[in-house]
Amino acid sequence: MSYEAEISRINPSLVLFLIDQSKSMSYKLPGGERSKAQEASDAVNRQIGEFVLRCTKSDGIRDYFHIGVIGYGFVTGRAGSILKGDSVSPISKLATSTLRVEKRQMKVSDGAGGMTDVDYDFGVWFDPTANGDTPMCKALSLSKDIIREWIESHPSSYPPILINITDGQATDGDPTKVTSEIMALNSSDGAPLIWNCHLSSNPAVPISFPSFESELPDDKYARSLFGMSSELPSQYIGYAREMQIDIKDSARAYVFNAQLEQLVQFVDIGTRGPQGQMQ
Amino acid sequence: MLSVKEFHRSKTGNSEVEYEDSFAYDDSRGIFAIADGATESSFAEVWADALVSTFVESPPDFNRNDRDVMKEILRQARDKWHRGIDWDSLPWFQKNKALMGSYSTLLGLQVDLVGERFRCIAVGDSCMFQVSRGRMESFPFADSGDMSNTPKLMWSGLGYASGLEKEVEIPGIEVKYGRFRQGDTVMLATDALSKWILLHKTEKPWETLYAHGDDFEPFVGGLISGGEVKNDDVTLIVITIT
Repeated sequence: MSYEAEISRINPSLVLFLIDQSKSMSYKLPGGERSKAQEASDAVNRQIGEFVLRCTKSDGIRDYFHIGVIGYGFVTGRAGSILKGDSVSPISKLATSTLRVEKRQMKVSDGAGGMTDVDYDFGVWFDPTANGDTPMCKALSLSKDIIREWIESHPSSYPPILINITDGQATDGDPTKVTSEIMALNSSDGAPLIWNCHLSSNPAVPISFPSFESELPDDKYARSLFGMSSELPSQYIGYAREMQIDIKDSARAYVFNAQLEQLVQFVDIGTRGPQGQMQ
Repeated sequence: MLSVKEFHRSKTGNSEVEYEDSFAYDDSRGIFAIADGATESSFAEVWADALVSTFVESPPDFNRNDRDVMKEILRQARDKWHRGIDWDSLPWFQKNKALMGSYSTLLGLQVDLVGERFRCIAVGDSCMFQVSRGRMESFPFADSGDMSNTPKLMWSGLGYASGLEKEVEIPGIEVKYGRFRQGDTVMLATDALSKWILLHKTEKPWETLYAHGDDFEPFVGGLISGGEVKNDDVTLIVITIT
């Protein structure tokens, strides 16, 4: 069975973020005041922060994950790493190499049935950019090389996770061909997982983890991104149900104008605390 | 009279200092506690230690209401936990995590030798097994299938001053009152080994464990490497009543 490999410091896993930095990302999301680029950079910074949080222990950070962030479209036709240093870094190195740390507030459960506002530090690794075209295929090809290299050196690791945040409009070809090639790069524990977070100007109702194309809004990019998203492993479905999240067996790792962070919680690195403390 | 044997080991690949289960006991007073600090919270070992040490150092009145007992233990343990962390020295990401609080299971056993009775209080999936005349009873689970990936856990509460002032609810307190006979054995185990015991409950698993009393470390290491036991910290306390 796949997706059962233990994620540990000895056998870490790879997480690659792909972020669309094309001109079209400067448009606002329906009903919002912020651009898609702002939402996308916030989402990736938040998800990196979530991985950092999950790996943090009393004695520091355990390198359960190595992380890379590839931007595409920051210059027309270009795709490449947007983090300082190597294209992939152990998470402990990432935690100490933020651009800055911002003070933010969040609502958390007070443990007695109520919610309370608390201050916390929000790590920022990069700022929003919205500039050129959308060379998504180039970014995916770059990811394929990184994933292949990773699997060669970590053949029994939990399969790499590729998280793509985009408005969906690839300008350099059909991305489904290269995503199929990526999904064929198996570690002994299964195929890489491709998650897609679709930020759209389409005012359709947000949707999370659909199972069928018929659940999607009338949007050709939604269909394309849904088609290149992995089915959620059965373990994720099991955890989701234990957390009272309504999710079908064939759900895919695709969200439309919704947050993808919940999936980060489903990756098993040990006994969980109760979910849903952070809002 | 009680005789006690204790076994513990860190998750394979981790060092002894990374052991996040905890246990404490005072056999002269018949008080025992084990806890399994949740891997995904930080300072879980501080929290697990605070819970078991509070249970053993301030043993609850046997006749007092179970929920009140646990609330008092929680109150004292939260204070210990907060004092056990050097908040000012933490970098931003560690402070973020620590402020969210720590989580742990707790199972506490009180044995009343004179009255030949016991009370066991549990939150989460650490288990007690009573072996009496060749039969085993388990608590709080009867079957391995009842154990989930998201056990009930005791929460330290938020690390903020305002968080500490608030009472925190304790989810799913399970209590068992029982009687024992001379010659009975009671085993307390954290979840990974408990699951193995429950999976083999019809095969007298206690006999296998007793047989490996002198080579417990390699025996459990073998079960883990063979995939029979999840790679996790393992704690077992065996109490024999004579």
